[in-house]
Amino acid sequence: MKLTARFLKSVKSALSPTGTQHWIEQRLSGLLSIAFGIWFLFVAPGFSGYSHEDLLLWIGKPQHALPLVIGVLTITWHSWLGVQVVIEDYVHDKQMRHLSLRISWLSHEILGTFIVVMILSTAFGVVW
Amino acid sequence: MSKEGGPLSPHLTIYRWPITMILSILHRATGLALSFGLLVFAIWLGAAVLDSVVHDKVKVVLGSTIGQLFIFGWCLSFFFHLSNGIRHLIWDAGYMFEKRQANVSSWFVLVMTVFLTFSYWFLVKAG
Repeated sequence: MKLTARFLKSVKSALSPTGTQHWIEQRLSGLLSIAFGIWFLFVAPGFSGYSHEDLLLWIGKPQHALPLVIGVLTITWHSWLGVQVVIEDYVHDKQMRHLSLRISWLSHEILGTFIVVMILSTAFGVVW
Repeated sequence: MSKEGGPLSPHLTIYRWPITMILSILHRATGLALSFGLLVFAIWLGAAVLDSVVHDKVKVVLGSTIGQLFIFGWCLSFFFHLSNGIRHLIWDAGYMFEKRQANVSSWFVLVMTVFLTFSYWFLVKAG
């Protein structure tokens, strides 16, 4: 309970300035990524034996598509937050830093959107 | 060495790296490696959905020795980032901050990373 109380206290403080917000989001997305990552470790080995059609059938099932979408969004978010910290720490030139952050944000946005569209279109039977 | 043989100020190239510092750098490096892995996952998945011919080619690349080496690297990165991430969460909760605890947990993370990676790899390859 001590842990929970500490956690709730830090969530409360996240409602104010941006640094804390980032800190909280990084931890929350990290925690969610643990769950997704472990699930993925269990399912991934099966993929190597799947034919192309088997794989699409597997992805299209709601019980797979849903965790996949949530997991990909979580990990993309966690990745964006992590890369952001690395850029802020190592890119010292202000203009280069802003440019790097923009490129990273755009890349993560495209990456996340692309994967989610791929999963959902498979689940809803869209033929490209 | 300075001419008089006196003490030198710590500098990256001559400083004996504390284990905690190495793990901090590894956490970032494995995080970046995993971000790159997400990109490869997107290519693999996108090919599966959009073009089966491309997907077959991606599968051949991932199945090759170099591909398997990369996948092993992502497993290693994942288990390190996971173990060390949990260590970070424990710190965030306010525990294990003492220098000795930080050193011991560093080694524990490294041992867990190797153990989990090789166990997983063995279990998967053994079917």
